Amino acid sequence: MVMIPPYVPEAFLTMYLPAIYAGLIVGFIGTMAIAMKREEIHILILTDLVGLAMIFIVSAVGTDLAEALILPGLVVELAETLAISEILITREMRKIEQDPRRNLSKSSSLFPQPFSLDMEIMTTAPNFIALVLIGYGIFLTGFTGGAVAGGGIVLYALSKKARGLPVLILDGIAGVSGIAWCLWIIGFLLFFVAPQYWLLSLFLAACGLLLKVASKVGLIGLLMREDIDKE
Amino acid sequence: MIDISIIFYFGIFLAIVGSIATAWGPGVNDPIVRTFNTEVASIGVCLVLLCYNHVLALLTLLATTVIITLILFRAIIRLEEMGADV
Amino acid sequence: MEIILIIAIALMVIGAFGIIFLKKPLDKVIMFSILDAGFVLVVVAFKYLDVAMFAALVDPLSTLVFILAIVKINEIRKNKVSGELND
Repeated sequence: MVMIPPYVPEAFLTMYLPAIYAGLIVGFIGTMAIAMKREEIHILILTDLVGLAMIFIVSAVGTDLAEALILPGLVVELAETLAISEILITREMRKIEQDPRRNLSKSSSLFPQPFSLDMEIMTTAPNFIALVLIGYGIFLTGFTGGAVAGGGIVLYALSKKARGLPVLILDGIAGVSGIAWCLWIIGFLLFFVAPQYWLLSLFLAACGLLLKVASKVGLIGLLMREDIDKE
Repeated sequence: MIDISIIFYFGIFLAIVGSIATAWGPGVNDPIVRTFNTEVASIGVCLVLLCYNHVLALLTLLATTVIITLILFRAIIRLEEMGADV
Repeated sequence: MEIILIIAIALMVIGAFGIIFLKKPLDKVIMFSILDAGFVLVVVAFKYLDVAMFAALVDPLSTLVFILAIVKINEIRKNKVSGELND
């Protein structure tokens, strides 16, 4: 017998088993493909599928708990993809540095090749779209708002051509991120010390997370511009 | 009032088709094609989340899909530039 | 109301199978736009208009990322082939 919490809506009860089975099938396909491939970059792409299977199984719960559990899963998936891609790139660089003569052929280079693409959308659209995305992200707050506003910052950073960001600005972005992290910790602590100020602590945590995630995702956009769109 | 079970089963179908295409589809030895096929499965999961009314999770999934695609394309391009055997 | 769902499902089926079975990557970008259009239609039918606005705004962003990556990787592969020919 299955224990069903009383707040699950009636309509979601029949959707429980198909969602669980679909999650299991997708996860099985993903892990089988990972077991059969050899190259690391393909395995990194296929890890996405296993993350999608995780979202399926968690969302089958159908209450607010599911919504609260999907967000950390997505955070972990994002961080994992970023970390493993960095590891792959750094390992390839070390392999070239140890024996440059043999591993570096004539057509490949250690540094990003110059490349410029002149598209009309990159000069006219970004102002409006980035403004709307950042405004909507600030309205949402939390990790969701940070990811939405970060998407706007990525679009703006990807299409603007100002080269060579000063070190001071990079340090400033890192400092904003640290202050936002402190805001989050203070808000979390205030929940337990003084529960009557729950609204204040909720907004401290939400706005801190917004600032932190938005600045970090914007840095990913700057990195992308230096690597891909370099002139 | 719309019948949500059609969209729900269609989302499951899209997710399974997308994941099979990602694993063994035509031309997936190119990493770019494999990343594209992941997008189909992602839209299927979005439809399932829409049926469960998980709006915040849906927004976060849509936003993080773009960022993960960005990171994957950067890794693929850098590895291809350095001449690794991808 | 039913006609919206039928159109949306038709768009998504065309987009999904187009992404999977077409050969050239730029065709895949166009098919991804069709898939996203069907998704926006479903979101509108569920009456989440703010999510529909966000999905419609994210679509050009992902298209931009796809086109940048595809054009750049084509350039790299072309350089690689011509470099090997010159050796």
